[in-house]
Amino acid sequence: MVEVWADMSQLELQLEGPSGAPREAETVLETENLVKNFGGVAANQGITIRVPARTFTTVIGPNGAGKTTLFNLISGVLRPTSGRVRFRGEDITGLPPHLVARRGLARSFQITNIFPNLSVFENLRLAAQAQGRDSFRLLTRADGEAFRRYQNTAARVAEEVGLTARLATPAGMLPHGDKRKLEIGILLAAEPAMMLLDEPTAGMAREEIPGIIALLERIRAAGSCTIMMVEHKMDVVMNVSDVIMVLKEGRLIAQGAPAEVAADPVVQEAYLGGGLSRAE
Amino acid sequence: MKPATRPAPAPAAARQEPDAVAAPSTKSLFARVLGPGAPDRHLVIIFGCLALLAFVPGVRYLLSLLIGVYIFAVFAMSFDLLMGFGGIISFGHALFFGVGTYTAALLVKRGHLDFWAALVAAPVVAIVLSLIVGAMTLRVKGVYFAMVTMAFAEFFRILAEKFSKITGGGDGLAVDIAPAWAYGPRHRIQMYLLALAFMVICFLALRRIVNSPFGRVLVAIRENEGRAAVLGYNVFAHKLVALSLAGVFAAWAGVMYGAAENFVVPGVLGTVTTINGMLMVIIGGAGTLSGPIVGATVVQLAGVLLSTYTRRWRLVLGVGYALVVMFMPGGLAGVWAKWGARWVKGSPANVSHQV
Repeated sequence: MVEVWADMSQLELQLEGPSGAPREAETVLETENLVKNFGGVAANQGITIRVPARTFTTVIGPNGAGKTTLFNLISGVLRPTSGRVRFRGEDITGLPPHLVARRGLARSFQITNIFPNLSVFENLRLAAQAQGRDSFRLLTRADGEAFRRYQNTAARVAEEVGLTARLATPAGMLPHGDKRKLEIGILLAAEPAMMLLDEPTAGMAREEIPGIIALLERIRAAGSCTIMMVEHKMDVVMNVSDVIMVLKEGRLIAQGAPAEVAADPVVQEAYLGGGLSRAE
Repeated sequence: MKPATRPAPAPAAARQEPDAVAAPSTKSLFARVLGPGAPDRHLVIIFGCLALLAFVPGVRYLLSLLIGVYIFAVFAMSFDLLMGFGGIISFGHALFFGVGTYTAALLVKRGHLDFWAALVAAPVVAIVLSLIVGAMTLRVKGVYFAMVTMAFAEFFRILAEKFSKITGGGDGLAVDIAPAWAYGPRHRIQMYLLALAFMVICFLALRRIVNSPFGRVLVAIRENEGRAAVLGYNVFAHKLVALSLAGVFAAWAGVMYGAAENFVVPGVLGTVTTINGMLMVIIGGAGTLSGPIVGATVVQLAGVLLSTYTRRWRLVLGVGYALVVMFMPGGLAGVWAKWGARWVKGSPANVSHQV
């Protein structure tokens, strides 16, 4: 097992805010011995992780390693069989997804998960509105002055993800690459403390991937959001990650900085079968 | 560590950029006339003409037909809030309609209260019932929810039949529910104007609701319930509020029905009432508010017109319904919207909207 936390002090120096105030290495997300059994299948077998604030963590591992299950347990979509999840110091184990989301944890899905018949703008506006306290207001127009802030957020995020020209398009009619951008936009519009991205480049054309990576880099550079991502494309993983976690058969078998994980014989043997740069 | 380098990707010339599909419907004729952002002067003209109709000589029979249309339009709109906007399919929506009628009938007959008291009491009863029914059923999905709601409505229909000492049972209960002034010499005109005002008020209220933050969430839940939850919306709570709101408007329609008929039978709680409402929503166009009004007009008038020609008018209506479902999935409002969009698109004023 690679020891990574020794390197974290280095990382924190780089992450100092523009004001010069040093940011303490607070932990955003912690899991403790997470177990999830589906009938006889143990999808997660005791996963304990710690994700420091404002870092970029990537979870890799062969198919069926339990990466998406881990995301489902963290985001409340699934209830763990045992173990705890702590988010921003609060125990959120077993909370339903909407309460996890309201605490500032946004997630995307491996298979595009948007509101296909609603416009791009409305998808983003709904994501912004979800974080407010207005969703039971009955007699004021949602797109009127009273809720201008949600529209502003939606417009700003559309700009960030490059969908301004598509605001009126029904989301389901976007080309696949734009749908993936919209998914990230939906996360951004919620202005989360942390986002879980489940294979953001899945199914994308090769030439569209750099755009997504650049977007993720910008989000990371903005410095307010911790990112945790499941990804298979190794060039993406190697470029953007501060920390890589390797899952196999429901267990965390290694974690560390990209170079360390790549050099780890356990990882190479168990998952990659040799040089990382060739793995895809 | 160097990332794998790849040959430059082939230019994406072959990929189709579907610019042409950028939603043209933002300013369709339909949206302008009756849609959510419609300028109110259109409504003033339409509803104003309907009001003036009351004073045209020789239309007494038409007025009594339209009274039914307006009342069922409200019932259909309330059903559509649930079904078309929320995607919640209930087979027991008549529960709220019938409970509204019975609340009014019993308050007036047994409690010696008046119409206005019934208008206040009926939604309270509907809210209580919807919370009970919703808490028990809204966590189950699709067809199970439909079945349980139907069971509730049937349960209340049987109650209305069995407690005949209070409700009059299967023989029904004759009772003058409408306010006293609606029984004067010009009672039909007064009742007509009351029903029209009732529909207009409910339409405006529901239009605000479906365009509110709440209404938008309801549509989001219909579109993708799981995503709405992961965004941070409490899906169950929104569905429960939707059921209550639909119940309130249906109960008001029930009170008005009682006032128009001066007679109440357990059938108001029956499955036929629910299915009639469902027909109105689907024929008119689910997910719009003008749709149920159009649907209520078609179903009510077609029923009356067809029944003068054939005893099997329900069969004809059923075939018509099947055709609408097969060939006009958006209902009549959907067809109107499509034609309207085409017509508006071709007009010079809107060229700038085309991409």
